[in-house]
Amino acid sequence: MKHLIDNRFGPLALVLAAMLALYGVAAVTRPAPAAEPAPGPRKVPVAAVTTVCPDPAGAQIGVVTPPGGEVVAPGEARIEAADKVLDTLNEPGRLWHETAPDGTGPVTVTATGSSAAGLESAQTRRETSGRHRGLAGTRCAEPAASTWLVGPGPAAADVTLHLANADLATAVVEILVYSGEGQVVGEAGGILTLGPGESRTLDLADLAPSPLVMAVEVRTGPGRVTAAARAVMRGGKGVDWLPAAAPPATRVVVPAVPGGGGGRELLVATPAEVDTLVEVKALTPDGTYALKGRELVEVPAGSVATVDLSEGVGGQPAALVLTSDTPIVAGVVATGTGKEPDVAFTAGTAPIDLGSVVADNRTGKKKSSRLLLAAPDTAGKVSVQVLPRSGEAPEPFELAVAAARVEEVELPEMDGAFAVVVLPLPGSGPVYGGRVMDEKIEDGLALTVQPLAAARMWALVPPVGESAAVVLPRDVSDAP
Amino acid sequence: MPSTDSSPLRHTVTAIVVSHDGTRWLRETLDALFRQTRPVDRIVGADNGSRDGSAALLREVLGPQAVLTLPRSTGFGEAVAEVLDRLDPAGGREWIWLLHDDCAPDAWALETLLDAADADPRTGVLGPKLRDWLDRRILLEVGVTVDRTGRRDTGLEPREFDQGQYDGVRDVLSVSTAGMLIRRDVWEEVGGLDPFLSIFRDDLDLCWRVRSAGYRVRNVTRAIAWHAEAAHRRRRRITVSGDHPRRLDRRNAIFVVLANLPFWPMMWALLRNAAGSSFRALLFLLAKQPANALDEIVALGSVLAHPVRMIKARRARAPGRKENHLAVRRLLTPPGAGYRRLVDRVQSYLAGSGFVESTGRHQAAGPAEEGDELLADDAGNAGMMWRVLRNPGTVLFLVLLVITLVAGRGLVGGARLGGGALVPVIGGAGDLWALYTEGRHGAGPGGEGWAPPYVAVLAMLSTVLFGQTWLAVSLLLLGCVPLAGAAAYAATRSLVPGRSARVWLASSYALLPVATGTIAAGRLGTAVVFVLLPAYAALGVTVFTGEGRQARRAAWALGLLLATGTAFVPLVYPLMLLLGVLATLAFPRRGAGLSAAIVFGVPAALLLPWLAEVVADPGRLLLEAGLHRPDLTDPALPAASLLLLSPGGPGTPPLWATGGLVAACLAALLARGNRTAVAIGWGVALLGLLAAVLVSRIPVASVNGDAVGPAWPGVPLAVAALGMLTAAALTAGRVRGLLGARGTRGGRGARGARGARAAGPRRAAALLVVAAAVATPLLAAGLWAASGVTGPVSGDVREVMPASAAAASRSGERILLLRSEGRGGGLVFTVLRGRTPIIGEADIPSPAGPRELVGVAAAGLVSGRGGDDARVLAAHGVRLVVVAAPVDPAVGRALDSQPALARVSLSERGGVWRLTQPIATPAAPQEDPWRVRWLWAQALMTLLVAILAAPGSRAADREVVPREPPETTRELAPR
Repeated sequence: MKHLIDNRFGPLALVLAAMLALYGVAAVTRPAPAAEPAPGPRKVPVAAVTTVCPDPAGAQIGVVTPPGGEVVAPGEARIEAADKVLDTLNEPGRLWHETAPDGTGPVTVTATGSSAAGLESAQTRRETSGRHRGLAGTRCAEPAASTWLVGPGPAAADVTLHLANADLATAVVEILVYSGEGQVVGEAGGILTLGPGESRTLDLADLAPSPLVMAVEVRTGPGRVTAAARAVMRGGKGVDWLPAAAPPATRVVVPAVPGGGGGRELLVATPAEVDTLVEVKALTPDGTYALKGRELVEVPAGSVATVDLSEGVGGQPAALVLTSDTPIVAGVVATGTGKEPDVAFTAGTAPIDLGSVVADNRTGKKKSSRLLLAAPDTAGKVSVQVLPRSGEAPEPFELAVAAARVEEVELPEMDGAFAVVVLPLPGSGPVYGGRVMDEKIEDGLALTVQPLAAARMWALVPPVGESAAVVLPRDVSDAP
Repeated sequence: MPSTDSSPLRHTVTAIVVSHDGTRWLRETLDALFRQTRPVDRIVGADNGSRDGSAALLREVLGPQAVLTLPRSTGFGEAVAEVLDRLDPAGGREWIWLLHDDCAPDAWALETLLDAADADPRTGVLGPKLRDWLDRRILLEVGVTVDRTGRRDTGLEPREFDQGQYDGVRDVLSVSTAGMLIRRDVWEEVGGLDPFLSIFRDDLDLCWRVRSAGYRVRNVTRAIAWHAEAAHRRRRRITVSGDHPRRLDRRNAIFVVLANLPFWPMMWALLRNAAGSSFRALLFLLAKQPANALDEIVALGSVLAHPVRMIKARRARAPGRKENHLAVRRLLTPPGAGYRRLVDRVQSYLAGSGFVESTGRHQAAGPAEEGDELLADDAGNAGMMWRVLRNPGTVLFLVLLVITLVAGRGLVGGARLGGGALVPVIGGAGDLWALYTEGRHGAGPGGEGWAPPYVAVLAMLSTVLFGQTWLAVSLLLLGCVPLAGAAAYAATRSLVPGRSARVWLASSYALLPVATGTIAAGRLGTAVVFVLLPAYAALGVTVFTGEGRQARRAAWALGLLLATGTAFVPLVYPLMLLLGVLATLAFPRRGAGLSAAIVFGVPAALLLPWLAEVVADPGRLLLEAGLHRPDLTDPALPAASLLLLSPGGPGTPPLWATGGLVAACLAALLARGNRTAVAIGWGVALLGLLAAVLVSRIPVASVNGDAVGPAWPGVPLAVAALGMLTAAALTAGRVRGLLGARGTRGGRGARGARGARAAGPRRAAALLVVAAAVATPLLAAGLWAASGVTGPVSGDVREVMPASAAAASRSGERILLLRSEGRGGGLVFTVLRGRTPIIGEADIPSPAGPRELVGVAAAGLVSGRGGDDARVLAAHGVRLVVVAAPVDPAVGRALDSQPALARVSLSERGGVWRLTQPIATPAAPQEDPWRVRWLWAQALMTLLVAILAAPGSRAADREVVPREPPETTRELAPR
């Protein structure tokens, strides 16, 4: 040892050996990079849902809570119309389906606890004659701060806007109308106040009498409202409710363009202040369909553009994928066949990542209900379960949707109304869909379409952490 | 008053020589007296009980009749009075020439003085120019004045040479009794020297009284006397009084000033003296000179405690005092002089020459200056600047400062500094003090722990910097590079010989990847410790090698600095503890154990409650001041990175930048010599590396347990680098020897001979090593300056909370601040009270229960699941939910879907929602009375340790006594 220390190279050798040992320790203990993935969001059942059926007069209301949710707390769903409790439900998995009383105004469904997760309600009105001839159905919506509706304008149809404030706080509502010629600045200003529990019906012709097509945004300053619009086409061309469209985005999927004959018209609106070019792609059961000459649609700033797709998709059920540089909203007007046709509307939706429920479906003699499911990006796989009004529920079945294809599936024949639950299975890509219901009545085909809305079944609770780093900007350079 | 306006009378001069143990000088004094060109009429000697044969000498020279022998305790004034009592007037205009035994007048002195007396008949007292006995060119006095606190003012610089710069006959307030020529009638009119002032200031009092009587006191510079000032330089014992000379001097000074000033100026002077003496006593206490502090207080007390004596003295001096005060006032030191003197002293301290304290010293001879003092020409400030600038440490500091400013160009001048581990700096010193002293904290869901002590350090610094916290933080964070450089340069003074080696060491240390990474990630804690580490090294060495008192003082200082460092980075404490224990075991010496106990006991005592909390949760030992964010550290730091001193994370240069440094340090191991020191250096380095490896591999949770990531090994790597660099710098001399083989550098002598032998490959290798070593700091500086500070820290952090939210949050109502980390990412939240947290607030742990409840509720709100999440928030006092920009649309929708929330605003600057239901106001918990007591105890302990650690009275103890020059030079000295 002494010899080693006295040697000129001794200390260097000792230090090098020590450093080598340290290197070894450090190398051995070095953790594998990114060993554990960041914890993802947690699925928890939704604990409270409120929906409002805008005008159920003469219609039937279906209310259902899908079964199988985690029971967090006992709860019930209360169905009220103008302070009168119609019924109280506390059995998930059973469809409540009744005809609504006349002249009561909107029907509010409030659910808590076990009855809340996935609560879905819808209203459907069927008339064989008269002004309201045809099928008119809509999903009863939850109060929101912003609702987009896309469809025909007051020049082409009688459009009534149904607003309801189901909250305990006053809502200040602003209605913005975009037409084919640009945003409509009405004299009335389009601003109104709704007190707690108040509801109101507006004729959109009062706000904007001239547009043939329109996109309406109902937005609130403080408070929330539910907004729905019914369009009664001029000349007895049918009636239906406009479904709520997905808020403006640069990529919009409009699922459930029904197959068969009749007119199909795509409406694309942009609230942006610049003209935008929208690329339209159609998905059919056979794959992507080239829309000759209509791949690109130019939408002027703040206005609505129309594209006639009647010839385009060739009578096949389809889904449309729209992409643009600026956010857009989109909807489709579908007209049934026959001497006295009916009309149906669909609109852009979000994918059904957490499942979707359609509360009111009917099949039978002349009636048929179909699900149109589209997987624009990667193949999807869903399970479909039927929940009848009474009797044993049939086993759910699985359904695969090929990538960039539309899958059409007939719902089984059931005795009376039923609800259907569509749940994506693990490993599935994003799936968009809609339910098409039609009925052959005299002189024409009655038609209604309901895009599948993401069910309020689960909520994704993000992993949460307390840190004062919130006060710092997010753009931390991740790479050293 | 005698007729002074009558025709000039014939002058007669009686010289009185008072001797007291002064044989050494007496002969020369008497020689000079006899050599006068204007012969003295009478010479009388008075001997105050000398024991060295002075009396015999006097009798031998003057004759036994002319010598009066007095008791040993007689003062100068009494002796003169005794002589005059027995001496009849000589007739004519009689002058008395007072001479000390150590005061030799020039041959023409008397003649010149009398000429001046003729020129102005109102002259009562005349004095010669006094020069130093030994170094005969140095001026001692050309008249003395005094300020209102009794401070003696000669108007001369210390050790000023006489170049005729003050020449002329001038009115002065007083002249020294050494060589004083006073008219006998004036002497008798004012009553002679006051026997109460047996020594010190008796001359001032006499001259003041002469002035008050309406005569003039003049200094005649053409008359010269050389004065040894034997009593004041302690060349002989002062026997006239048993009192401490300094105390006596202060007492007499205050007494003379108070007795001679008219009433109102006297009252004002009394106030100033009381305040000034107390202040000086405090300073002396801080400088650990309790004896001087006592002198100051006792002197003042002795004057104040004898009002009767004072009244008597004032009554005796009453005639003419008020009338002639105007003339006297002009001669007193002007009021601004005190501040000027303070500035001078600070300047000279900064220039490194130590305090030049001439208070209480009889003359202005300062400690011997270095030779370049002479070069400090008439432009005094420029000279000082030059001296400071020539210090390589200063130059290094300035160069590093410029590099830092260039690199940190994006950080300086922004609105709010923050980012990385640093919360945006808001608030002032007052907020920090409030945070530190408050028992209950606003941020988080009601944290109640002890605020980290570094908040107090920052608050102190902010208070000094005019309450500007941002200034303090910028100074510590951005200034860490130049400060560390200067600290390393200064700290290695006693460790590493050779300035160039120290400059290399300091610049390499200051530009380590640790430093750049620290700034880039906003790590305030590491920045502070990085500056302190060199000081730890220097003090640690002193603790183990210094002599008793010095080592003890260093131990206190190290304890205090270690406490400061530990407050910022707790890891420093165990690290230093390990090194300290090893050092105590390896170098056992007497008192080492106690020193170590001081070093490690002080931080424990000062940081007690907080440190206990940290130790109870050992993971916190690895955290540091500021936020612990896993994205600021490399989760899998490569082993090579650790060995190359790069701690990883943002802002660190590429690995090869420090490769040369480590290689050079390893190569330095080949040089022989200084084995122990090199071994210690490398031992520290290897321990530091080991600690760095361990630290970088241990995942550690943040204070509130939500962010888990490995700790940042910055501090252990800095320790390792310092050890390595010191070991390498110690061999610089050897390397220089090897390089010296070249003819131009030290080619002569032994070194050259050795170098010649070492020529060839060995020299080439040495050149290579030096090149690698020098390249590293240059490379690091270049890279850093070129790329700038790239990390997450920013000089201009945007306010995350919309102004409406801050305004809407009334007192006591809390704000839930959320940020969604985007798709698939988590949610981060914090609870605030009206503003973003101030520095340190985020480091206080909040109770886990409420925190989790609020967290679950926040996540529930963002998920939009409905339910009673809002009620939970309301129960915890949350009024507003603020989502930081950019707001994820899904989050916005989810919050909109909450019936219990009403949207206040939503824009690209963030979203604000308000709870519609009434909120609970949490009750304030009881204030712990022990908390306040402990804070006071902490403050007192800190003060005590600071006093014990402060550099003591070394400079003051060192009384500079010029050596007696050999006889020959004295003969050659100009006369």
